[in-house]
Amino acid sequence: MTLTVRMSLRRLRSRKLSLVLSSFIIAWAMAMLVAGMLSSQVLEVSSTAYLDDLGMPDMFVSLSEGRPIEEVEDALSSSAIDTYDLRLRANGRATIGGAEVAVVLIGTSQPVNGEINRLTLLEGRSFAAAEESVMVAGSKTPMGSLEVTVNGLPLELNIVGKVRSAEFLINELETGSIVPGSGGMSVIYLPLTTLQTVLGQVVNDISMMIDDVQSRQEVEAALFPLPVSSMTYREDHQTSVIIQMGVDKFKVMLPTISIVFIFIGLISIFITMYRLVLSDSRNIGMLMSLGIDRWRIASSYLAIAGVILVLGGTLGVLMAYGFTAMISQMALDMMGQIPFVMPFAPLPFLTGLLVIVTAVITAVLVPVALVLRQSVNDALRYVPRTKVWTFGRATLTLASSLGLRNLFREPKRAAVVLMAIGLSIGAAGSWVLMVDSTQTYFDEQMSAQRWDVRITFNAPLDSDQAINDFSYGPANTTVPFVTLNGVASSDRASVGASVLAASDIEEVRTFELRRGSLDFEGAVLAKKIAEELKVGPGERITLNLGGRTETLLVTGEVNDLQTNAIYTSNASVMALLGEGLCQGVFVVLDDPAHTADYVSVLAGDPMVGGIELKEDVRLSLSNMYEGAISMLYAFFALNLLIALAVAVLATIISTAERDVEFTALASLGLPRSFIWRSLAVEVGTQATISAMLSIPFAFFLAKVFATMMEEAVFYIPIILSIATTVTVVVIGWMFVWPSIIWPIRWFRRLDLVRTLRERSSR
Amino acid sequence: MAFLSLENVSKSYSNGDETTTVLKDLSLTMDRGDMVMIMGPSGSGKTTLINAIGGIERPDQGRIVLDDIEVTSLDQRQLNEYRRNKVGFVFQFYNLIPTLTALENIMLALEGRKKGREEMRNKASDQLELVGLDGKQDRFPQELSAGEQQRVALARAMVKEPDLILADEPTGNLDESTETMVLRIFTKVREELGTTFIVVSHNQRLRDYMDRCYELRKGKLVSI
Repeated sequence: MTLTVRMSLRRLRSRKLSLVLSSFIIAWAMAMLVAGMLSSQVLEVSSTAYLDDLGMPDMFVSLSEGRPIEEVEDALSSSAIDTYDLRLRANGRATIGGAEVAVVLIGTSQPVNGEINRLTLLEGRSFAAAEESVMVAGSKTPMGSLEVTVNGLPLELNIVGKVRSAEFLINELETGSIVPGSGGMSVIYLPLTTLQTVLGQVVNDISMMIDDVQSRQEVEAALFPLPVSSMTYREDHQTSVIIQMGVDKFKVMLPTISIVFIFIGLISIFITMYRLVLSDSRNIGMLMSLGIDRWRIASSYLAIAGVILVLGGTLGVLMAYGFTAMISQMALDMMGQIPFVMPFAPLPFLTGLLVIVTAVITAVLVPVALVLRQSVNDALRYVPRTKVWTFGRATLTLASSLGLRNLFREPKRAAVVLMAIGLSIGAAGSWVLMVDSTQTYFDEQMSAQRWDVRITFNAPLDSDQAINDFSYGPANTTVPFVTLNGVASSDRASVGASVLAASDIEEVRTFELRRGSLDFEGAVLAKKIAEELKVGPGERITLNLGGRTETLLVTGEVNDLQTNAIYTSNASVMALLGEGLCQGVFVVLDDPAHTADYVSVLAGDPMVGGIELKEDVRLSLSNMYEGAISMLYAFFALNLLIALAVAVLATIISTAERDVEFTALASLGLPRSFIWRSLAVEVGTQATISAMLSIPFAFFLAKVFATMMEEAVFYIPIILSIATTVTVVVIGWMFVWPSIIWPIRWFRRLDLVRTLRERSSR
Repeated sequence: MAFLSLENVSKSYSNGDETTTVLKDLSLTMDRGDMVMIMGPSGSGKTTLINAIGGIERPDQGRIVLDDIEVTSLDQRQLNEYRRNKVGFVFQFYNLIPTLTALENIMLALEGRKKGREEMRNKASDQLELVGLDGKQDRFPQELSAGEQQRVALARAMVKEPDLILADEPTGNLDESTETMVLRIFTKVREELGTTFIVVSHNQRLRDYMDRCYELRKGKLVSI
């Protein structure tokens, strides 16, 4: 080790805390970056492995009415189909704990051993006898006997086990709600033959494994003879969509926020190094006077960068692994307890290391280069300069004046420090802003729903008859609807789409128009699907459902939480379902208070397969986001640690250079309270200004995140509410305050005699 | 009874295996208003001695009593109070607070004395006038010459009217005329307030202003 390197490294002895804090900040930045990239990989790998293991089909097809097995098997004779599972699916109702609940019954012949739609037994056993059945995890049904009403007929069941299935992996979201989801429902698998005793010797649900993507068109054409009401490919299935949303969120959010922390780390190291190099000016001048060239002096400081990188890099790798494990485990648990699989993925770690190496070397070399520009004479004569801002001289106490002037004694540094702390709080605050905006947006989306009850039928019904049958009592408006899951195509792309067609759709919900018009004679598309199809108003798309197609003119584009939604009129999808038919009705009541009265009449109706109340949808949404919100708040608090680290670093730099002044104050016999008051004013002002500065940063960063989220998931308008502003300012302010502990502790330990002897001549 | 008495004061420093004794059974008595000079080579213990009298440093052995207060038995809080009320320090390098004006630096010494702000300001202004710096009250230390800074430091030490002023090389950085001015202020303060002075210096010219002069040799004071 050369003498100059040894000299630089020895300077670190008195700066251990600064070194650790700088390393911590840079480690945090690296961990965020790596965790973002790695978590998305973990989620993708874990979920794909799990779905493959469960035999998740490549294609799901629903028929609007049951068909004999032979007829369906004839249609599935295409060689492109590897294997298929024919099932009978029906909506039923059961009374559980005195309350009427919707039940989805799926009759299947191969529950646990097949290559497709395999059920994983979690509790109890699989069904063996005719009356035995199993329920999907998350169902509201209890184990044991249960009477279910299907098509008005009673069916006695005995639930003997609890299972997990790929198609109902996320059994938390209400079906057909504004977020694509499957559950909140009780889903029961039972022997196919048992359900056929009630519904006849038919099947209405087909799952398939297909050779490859190229074979899809052939399979779609083969389905033409069947009355297909829904055709969904694996990647468009709600399970895949929600997993992909999670993957995309982590892929976007964490690396974006890591950029902010890398920037903060860069500033912090720059300030620390600049101070260190400036205080080394005389030494540097001495080295230059000895004829040591500038590059050699500069490179000796790279040893400091090396130490920060070794510490920060090691900590960063550990933290990245910890964050990834924590985030992925939480996300995988939320998605249905998917087993955690850590792939061998060195790229995120290498990327993270490369980024921090670049940042740290820049932050170290730039201040060194600035000082090395001086002449030998200037370096040898260097005296620290103090700029004094004399505000409030007449009104402030001496302690307050001292605190304020100390904060701004190096105005440029003070500005950079305040910005860095503000940015750290802002970065953390942007999470709160995102949470608040998301909640507000969901509330708005819910209030956009004007319906009170949504009824789905067991089989398609004539629209006029549906209006007639369900417009009783407190019903004010009854709007028949059709929901179809199929494939939407434009000239440029094809994607899975969820179509809601209703005769007067604006009676049941309002829309936030982005462009075009709300003309439902054509198709109004959610922004995300419009982007994926690369279409806008005036262009045409084709809906494909089991070999049947319908071409629609795109008339508008709206913001929507359901990213693959297409809204149109009943008439537009006649060719897909059948003229004049509907699958359910939205009911707007005179007064939502009459909901229970209205629903109580529906209980015995054999046509009614599902009843959804708006309030239930709202509750299930808020339950689902409660978990996510807790996680975001935890991140808010964790990220505030960086604000504290920057504040402590700044306070250390600022107070450590004032040791002689502290000694002078001590020699005057000033009460300790004077010093503490002065420090309190300094740190308090720093906390207040930086907390205030954090608001524009938080807003800007939340906007950036929302823009990036819009690309990946869905659009969230960022709203800066007074409550959020106050929360960020107050909590941010509170997190900066503990930085006062360091100078107080330092002052207590200050060696007056040594400082007076060794430092007062400078 | 003597105003200040040091009885058998000893102080050693250890540096690794090596121990250096700087004060060895040192004794000294002074009456109120005395002005004493202490000389000696570098490292002889001059600064240690005034630090011990001022309550900044504790001797290893011996007693120091000032105006019936046994300094060597005070705890940290009492020492702080002692420095605040009884002693004024003047350092070679002034040790002014760079972010406070000349007037504020002087007012600082009155903090914690339950005086009103206006009263503090007036007292500090009077001291500035006494040291010949009226009109420069709003200047910051870096805007003053070395001599002016030392006079502010002197005013800061005197404003609380301490019983004892301890000056460590007070003229070390000053030109001859400023040095004379500082010494005249010492004399004037002693005459008007009866303040006791202990001045540590190498400067022989200061001897003319002193009542007694000692040299620190091998840890003991020798009258010269």
